[in-house]
Amino acid sequence: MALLDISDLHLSMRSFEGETPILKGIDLTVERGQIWGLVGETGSGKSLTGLTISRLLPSTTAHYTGGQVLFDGKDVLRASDRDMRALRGGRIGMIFQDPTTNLNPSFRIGTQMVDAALHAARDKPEILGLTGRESRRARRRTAWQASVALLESFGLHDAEDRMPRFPHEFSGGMRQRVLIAMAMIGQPDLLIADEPTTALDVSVQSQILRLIHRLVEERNIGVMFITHNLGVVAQLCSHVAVMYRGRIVERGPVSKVLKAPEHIYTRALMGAIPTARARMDTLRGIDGPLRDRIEAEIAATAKEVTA
Amino acid sequence: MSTPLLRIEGLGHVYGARRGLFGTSPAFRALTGIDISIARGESFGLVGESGSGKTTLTRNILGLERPSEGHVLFDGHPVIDLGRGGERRLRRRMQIVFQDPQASLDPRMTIHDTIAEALVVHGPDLGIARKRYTRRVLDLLEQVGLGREHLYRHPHEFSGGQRQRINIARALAVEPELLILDEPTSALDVSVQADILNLLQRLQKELGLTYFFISHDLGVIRYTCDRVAVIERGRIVEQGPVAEIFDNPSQDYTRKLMDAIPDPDPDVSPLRRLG
Repeated sequence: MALLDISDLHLSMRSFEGETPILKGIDLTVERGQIWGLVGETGSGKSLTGLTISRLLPSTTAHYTGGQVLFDGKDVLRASDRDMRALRGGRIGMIFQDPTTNLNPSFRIGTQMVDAALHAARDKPEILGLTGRESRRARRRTAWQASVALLESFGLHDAEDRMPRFPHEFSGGMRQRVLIAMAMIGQPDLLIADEPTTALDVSVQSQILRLIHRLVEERNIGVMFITHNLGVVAQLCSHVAVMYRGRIVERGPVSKVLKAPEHIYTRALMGAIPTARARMDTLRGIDGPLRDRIEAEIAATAKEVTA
Repeated sequence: MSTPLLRIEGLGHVYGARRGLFGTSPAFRALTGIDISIARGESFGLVGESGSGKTTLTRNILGLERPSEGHVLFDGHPVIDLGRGGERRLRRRMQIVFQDPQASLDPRMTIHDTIAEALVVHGPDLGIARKRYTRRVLDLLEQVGLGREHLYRHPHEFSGGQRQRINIARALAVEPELLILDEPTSALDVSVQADILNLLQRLQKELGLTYFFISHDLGVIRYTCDRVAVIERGRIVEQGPVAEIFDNPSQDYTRKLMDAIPDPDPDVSPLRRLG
């Protein structure tokens, strides 16, 4: 059984103007040990796909009109709120783009780490080596020690001294390491990373990518890596799915899709990247006529499928 | 040899020790011995990580900061202590486009008013009559690939790429000679970024502009610039023609930066080799 199996997922968002379809039939399977890159432009629905897996979209506006999201065989769209709370931070870890807004500025890093660890340990006490009968104080002490050890292993030196510090005393790269540690302390089976390196310098980015790569090797987790940077996908991911306006237009192993892209949209995206080799006037953006051709090709494929 | 448009000599900047609400902050040296000379019509790139001093350097060029050492000469004249009229005339000749196209537009002003505001300030210096402003705004919009139908819209009705086009149009409104581009495409999708980069190249050719292009994306710098300087902790570690620096970096730091760029070709990814 696949770790994550999304089939024919449809999502609409409600607003004053009525319902707007956002995801139009997403199919995606993530196995353990795979790193799936989910790429696409702004508004293609890649982040909403990520948020759907841990059901973080507000139920007042987000309306699932079809399909299912099976995590370890269980449909998260139909799970109870209590089950979802256990999944988030327990079996599904998440990291986001902006490491600053995802840490509370008024609490110490250590406090926030320990809270995350104890939340995960409520359903899985074994991750901290607890039996569930210790005193509150003993639990916090154990969680503290586990946090320090994890931060050190993620390349945050002097973690013991840094734990009592506040987020503003950390650099962007350090904050992102803390957030990855918070996501990983529950020993999740699936990590959803939504543009975790977009706000970072390239040199810090490559350190973070190495860290994620190592986690997959060591713990055999599955990763869904959401990004708009095809370079990052080429470096890190084993598989890639290219999204365009709520659909996956092309998918497959990175070595195949990025070496020989079949879909016109994938080719257009690749052609827009300024690489170290690109020369003057060789880049091509995605302009109106090209978009029309992309839409036409997608419409043609959709017809084939229904026929 | 003609005077370079921008000349920076031995520029150093120290942010002074300050006593604030939460105690005293120690003096911080942000720039040391910066020498840069940019010729008219050239496209000069500046690359560096966060905290390397890119912003401080830009502020010094614009005359927003007083250098602690050395000086900045624009067309042979210093950029500070000009008096109000002199300052206004200088501002007209150098303009800046910022990273976040949303934050740099007033959400309550129409595009016409946003761009015309620059003309209200500098129109007299340019010799443009008030009744010609709308015509001029329209010409500018066309120049950046927008049209008459966009004239009276507000910023929220535009996409990120279109907003950046508006910012470029506003900067060009006053017919500047030097355009400082501070990460103009890092908030945009690659597909949109490609269009903006091509637009900038076209405008440079048409208008004979000089660019000072700041980016942490070396691919973008290579695509757009003639020469590049690499800045690390307030010092220029290397500068020269783009092709030379990129194909043959002499400094470890530059090489490290280059290696860190994720290449979209899966065969040349360092991580995969490691993994």
